[in-house]
Amino acid sequence: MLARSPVPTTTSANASPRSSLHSFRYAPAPSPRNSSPLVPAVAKSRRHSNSPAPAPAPAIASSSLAPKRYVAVDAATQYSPMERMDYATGALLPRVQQQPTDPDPPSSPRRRAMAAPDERPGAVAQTPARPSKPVPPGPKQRIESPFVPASPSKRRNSQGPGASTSALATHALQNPSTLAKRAKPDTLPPKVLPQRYEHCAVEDVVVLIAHMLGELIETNDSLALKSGHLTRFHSRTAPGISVLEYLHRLAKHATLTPPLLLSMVYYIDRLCALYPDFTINTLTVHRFLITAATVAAKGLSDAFWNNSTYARVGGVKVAELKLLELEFLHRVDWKIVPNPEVLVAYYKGLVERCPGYALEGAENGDDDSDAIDDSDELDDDDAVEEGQGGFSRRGFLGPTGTVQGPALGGA
Amino acid sequence: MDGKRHAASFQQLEKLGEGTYATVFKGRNRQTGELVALKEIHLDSEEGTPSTAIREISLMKELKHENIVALHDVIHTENKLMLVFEYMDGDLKKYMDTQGERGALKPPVIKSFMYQLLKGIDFCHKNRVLHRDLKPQNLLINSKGQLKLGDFGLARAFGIPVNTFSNEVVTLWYRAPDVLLGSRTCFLAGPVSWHYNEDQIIRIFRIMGTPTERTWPGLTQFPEYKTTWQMYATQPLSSILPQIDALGIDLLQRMLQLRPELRISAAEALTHQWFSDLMVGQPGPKQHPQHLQAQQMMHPHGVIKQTVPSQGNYGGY
Repeated sequence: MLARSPVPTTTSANASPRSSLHSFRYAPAPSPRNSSPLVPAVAKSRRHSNSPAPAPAPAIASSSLAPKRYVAVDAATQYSPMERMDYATGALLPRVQQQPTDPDPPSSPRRRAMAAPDERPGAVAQTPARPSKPVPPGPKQRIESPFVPASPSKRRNSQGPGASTSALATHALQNPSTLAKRAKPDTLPPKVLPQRYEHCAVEDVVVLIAHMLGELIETNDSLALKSGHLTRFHSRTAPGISVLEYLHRLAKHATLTPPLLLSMVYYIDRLCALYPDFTINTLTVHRFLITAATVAAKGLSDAFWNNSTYARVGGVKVAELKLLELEFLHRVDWKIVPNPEVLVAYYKGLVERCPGYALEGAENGDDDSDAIDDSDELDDDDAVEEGQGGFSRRGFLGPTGTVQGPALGGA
Repeated sequence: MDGKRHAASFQQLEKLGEGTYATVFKGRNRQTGELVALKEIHLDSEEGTPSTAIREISLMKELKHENIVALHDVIHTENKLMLVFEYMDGDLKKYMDTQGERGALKPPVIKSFMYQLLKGIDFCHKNRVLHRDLKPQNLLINSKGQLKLGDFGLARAFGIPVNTFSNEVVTLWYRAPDVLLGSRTCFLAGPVSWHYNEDQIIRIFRIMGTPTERTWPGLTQFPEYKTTWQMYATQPLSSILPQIDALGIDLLQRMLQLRPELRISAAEALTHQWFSDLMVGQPGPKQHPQHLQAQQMMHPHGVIKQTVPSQGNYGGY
């Protein structure tokens, strides 16, 4: 469940095949530390919600979003052949230490800038071998008050750098009540987004999706290890660019429009549903995104680039993108056309759960959360509980699991 | 490739057509003996999986209908994609060339094909798919007299507001007038050879009459509107198609309306009185004229010189 996008879907036929609902996926050995830069990046930009503008990621800032074209291939996103990594997750880790430097433009400053400072050696050791014992709280509680920390006391270690406690996380932990229904970062009025996603600014859609992904990744990362299998989407080590910035880069240089971006969210659910080994986490999210973007643009829009462009923008080799694309299409059984209603539902769901944003004309409307409650049909409570164990680490991440309900159920 | 079937499951027979991005072979399922059409698509790194292949497969997987060519399977290796389609004997273009009298088919055949064509189109539209490349070469015919839509390489799902180049994809001859005039759901500038476009518009006006702001409110707002259009009078269709009865002409008239909002939909057209003698609800081979079933079709593929190719000659697949 947690592998999927925490966004409610409609009951539309092609939303998320129910067959997959019960699968609960673990990420293969991600290191939680890596997720930390992601969340703060999102949280930050969310606060100044008017300008997710150029470089919302605090640490990375100005580096890569300059008008000039992105050409560097981040070594960290080089595909690692599956055969060499296809063993128990623990075995993967030592490798991580060796890999981060690859044949790459000899330490281009940009690449440096994008790599999280703490990213390599030391942190590896911290990677928990398994998620700790599931935390008791049942799914119901989680559903009712999504943002209330499931069990703050159970927070697990991790978080290397100071970045670890993101603005949002801290806030949430200190004031869980303010987040009870809809998180409101501070007193700033929410940024109002148009009802129709096609009228929404691309930058805003990017922030919405990055926020959701941040939560998803954090949860999945912390759950890791259990039965993780490596997939073609895995990087050896977490790419040193935040999800927000990466998505922003893709949107800008690969000219992704809101419908395409939302289709990519739909693909998370579809891929996870049909490909149980796949989960969105720190190690897979980048490759997933560039692949999904490529497929969405080529399959849905009359305006698209060639693969070389997508590869360059995404920081993967074009030959690898070809394989990723094919793997993706095969895994989703080539069915990549979302129902229009599904995209609308995703959009609403993303806005609903992203603090600092509101839909035009949706006066404090929290009706959707009720709908979420109603549609919770998880049969897979065990999995959910384990999931709780996972996100209790950060306390506030309940919603990730929460929204799984609707994504699955559908009244 | 972990699919149930492999490329080796099919015996490759003669080539049916070839184009820039794919080659179509006749094939035989080694197990069942069933004939198939194998569309082989080369995958190069630069392009990856061609967009046409992605569209074609993703849409045809959802479109299972007796008047749409069935996509049985997709088999892929690293460098090749093989689409397995149901086998059809030929396409309408070739059928008209070989069976028609200077291209003209007999009225009962026309009616049967027309009905099946509309059924296929209606199914597409009900599933929110626009074929966007309907033309005789892409309408496949088998020896049972069945007609099926093929080649969905330019098709698109509608309802999702993505960028469209609607007036650039469809083969010129078969573009709707409003499309020729530059109408788009979502306008996006792109290079088009307007000269040919213009030429095609005039051809349409010669028969349907040149519209004016009075007959088509909003006409002058179209990007391609020209004040220099020569004014043609509307020709009666019955004088152009004397072999078609009054009901048929009426239907045609409704289908050829210049203004899209006045044009009849596929669903409405299917209920038109012209089809009332077709035993509606029982389409398919049964009511096909005898001679259709009797004649073996000439094989159309390979040697055709296409006048208006869009991507290449894939024999309609």
